[in-house]
Amino acid sequence: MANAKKRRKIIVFTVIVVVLVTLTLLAIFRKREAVITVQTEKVARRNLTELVVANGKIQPVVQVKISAEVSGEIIELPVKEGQRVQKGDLLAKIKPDVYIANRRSAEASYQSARAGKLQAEASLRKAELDFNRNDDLFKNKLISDSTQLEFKTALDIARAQVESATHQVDVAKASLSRVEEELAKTTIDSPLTGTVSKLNLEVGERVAGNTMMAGTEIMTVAELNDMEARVDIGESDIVLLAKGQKARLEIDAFKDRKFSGVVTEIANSSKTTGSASASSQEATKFEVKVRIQEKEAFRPGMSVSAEIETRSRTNVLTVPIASVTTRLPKEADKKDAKSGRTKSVASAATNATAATNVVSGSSTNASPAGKKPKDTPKPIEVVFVLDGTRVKMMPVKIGISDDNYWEITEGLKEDQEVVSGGYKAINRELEDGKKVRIGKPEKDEDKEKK
Amino acid sequence: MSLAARLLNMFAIPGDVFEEVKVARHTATNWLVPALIASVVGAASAFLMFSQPAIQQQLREQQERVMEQQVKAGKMTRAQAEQAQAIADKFSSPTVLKIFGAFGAVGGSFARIFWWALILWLFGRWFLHVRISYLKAAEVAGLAGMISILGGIVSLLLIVNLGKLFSTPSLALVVGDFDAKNKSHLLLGAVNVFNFWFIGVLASGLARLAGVPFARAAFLMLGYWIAWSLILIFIGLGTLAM
Repeated sequence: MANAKKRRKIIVFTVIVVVLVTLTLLAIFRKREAVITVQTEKVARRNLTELVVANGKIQPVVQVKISAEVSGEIIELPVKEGQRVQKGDLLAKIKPDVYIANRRSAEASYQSARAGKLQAEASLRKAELDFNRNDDLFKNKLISDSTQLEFKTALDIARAQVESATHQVDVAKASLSRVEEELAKTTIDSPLTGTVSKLNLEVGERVAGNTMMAGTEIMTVAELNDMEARVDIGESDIVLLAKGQKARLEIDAFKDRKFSGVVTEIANSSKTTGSASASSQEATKFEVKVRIQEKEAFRPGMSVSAEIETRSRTNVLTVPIASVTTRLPKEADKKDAKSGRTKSVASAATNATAATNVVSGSSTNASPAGKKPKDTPKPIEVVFVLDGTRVKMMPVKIGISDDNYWEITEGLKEDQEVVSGGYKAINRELEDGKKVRIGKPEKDEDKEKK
Repeated sequence: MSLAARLLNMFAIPGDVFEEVKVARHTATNWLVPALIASVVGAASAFLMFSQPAIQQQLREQQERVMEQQVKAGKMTRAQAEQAQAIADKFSSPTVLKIFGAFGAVGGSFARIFWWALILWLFGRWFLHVRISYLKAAEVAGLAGMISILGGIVSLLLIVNLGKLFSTPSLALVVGDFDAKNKSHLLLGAVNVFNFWFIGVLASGLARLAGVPFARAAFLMLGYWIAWSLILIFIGLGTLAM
């Protein structure tokens, strides 16, 4: 009995000790690390179209501001805002009384100048007759030289007077033409067929007119059948745009429809707004005009959002946008970890190079005397590729993107599985060699359970 | 038998230990020392467990899952969930978890011994119609607690090795992705080798104290354990049954 109990004790304690020692040794020598839950997607070939999105307003392609060239009171305004007008239709009439009086005065001056010319011509004929008669007498030595000279001078004077009178007539005629033109400008006709989109003045109001620069703006006439979207594009995107690129337009007033457009004009200079101090803080914008191809009851000033197709690629390698993140280059990371000093970044051993500027240099830690201090290594675009139960950090070169995918130009092959979620894992937690497990996003797990 | 002999013999010959306890004078060390050992082991386990990155990760994922379910059920808004998550992150840092774990282990160790002593005393009185001294029952529960201490150490080593929060020597090991909200998973987790061993040893102690056959005492203890585990699982405290 006692032996049996003793044997039982030995067996039990032996089993307990073996189990505990085994588990303890496993616990000590086994590498433990957090396993990160991720989602993956395969690298696949797709067609991508890059879009630049911008907001702006609808405006007519052709829009003319009608302003006065002469000053006066508006006595007639036969059009209303929104009225359709044809080319040549009367738009406004300015009181012509002063200009009529000016015209009469100019006419009188002109007639007076003409009369003066006739008088000078008559004087010339008389002077010619006198000269010719006395010239014969002078040839027969019947009159003196001085007498002959007097008649000759009189003839010259008469000729000069005729010339002066002719120029006087020209001046008077030009004045008359100018005044007639001013009189004509008191009647303003439409220079184009369109719609009165804006009416600024009423009958009885005075306008100031100037032939050298724009006078008082009376109204705006626009051709509303041809409209364009004028959108503002940031300086980083403007370089991607070119005339002829297609666009999709969404207009707030027509929410259910999408319109098509074509880029027709790209500004060379940026829009300047406000003071110099304000412009340094505001984003630099360039105006781009997109002709709308459909006809619809658009009105000037309507808000529009344009998606301009800038670049497209066919059958290129793509990864989800969420897959691409940035990390410090591996070599810079390791060296920083070892010594803690700022290092130069050695060129990557892999075939992909950094998308941003990375200084290639010595792989040693020392900075030779006389050289500039090394730049802080800049992050590069990377993707995490699934390698069994771990991930491998792969530097990549990216091309264009659309709403969902990045084009990969270097660094990946088709059908490789890349980490596409979760956001926190990709942007903060994942590093080269970390252990992961494939898990579905939260909403899919709940659906399955149901 | 010395105290050390009594404690160690609980694993091999518990019956002999309980026979001695039955006839000897009341000794507080029979429950106090196991309670202290359980407290130390529990506190050390909490410290080790919450130092594991994998365990911290799983706790965080569990919290996020619970918040997400609350948001989906409309019980809180996304902003409230994020706020609650931020507070949870603050109070579930490894240091805080270790402190709470340690205190919980100490309190739980003593409470467990007195609870099982109460059960033994009540069963003796109600079902076996025998008057058992509560302090004797406490000694029996304390000494039987050595099985639970060993079970706790083995569970801790399994958690550290496997990197999973609910790794116990039970049928829960066959479940790939253990979910503490899943009742079937919790039922599997309750089928723990050390739970049965502990119940068996307690039954042996009850049988000795009450002078009844082991089978009868085992029937009572097993029946109680099954009922109590099911209640815990169905009221949402199933992890206590593991």
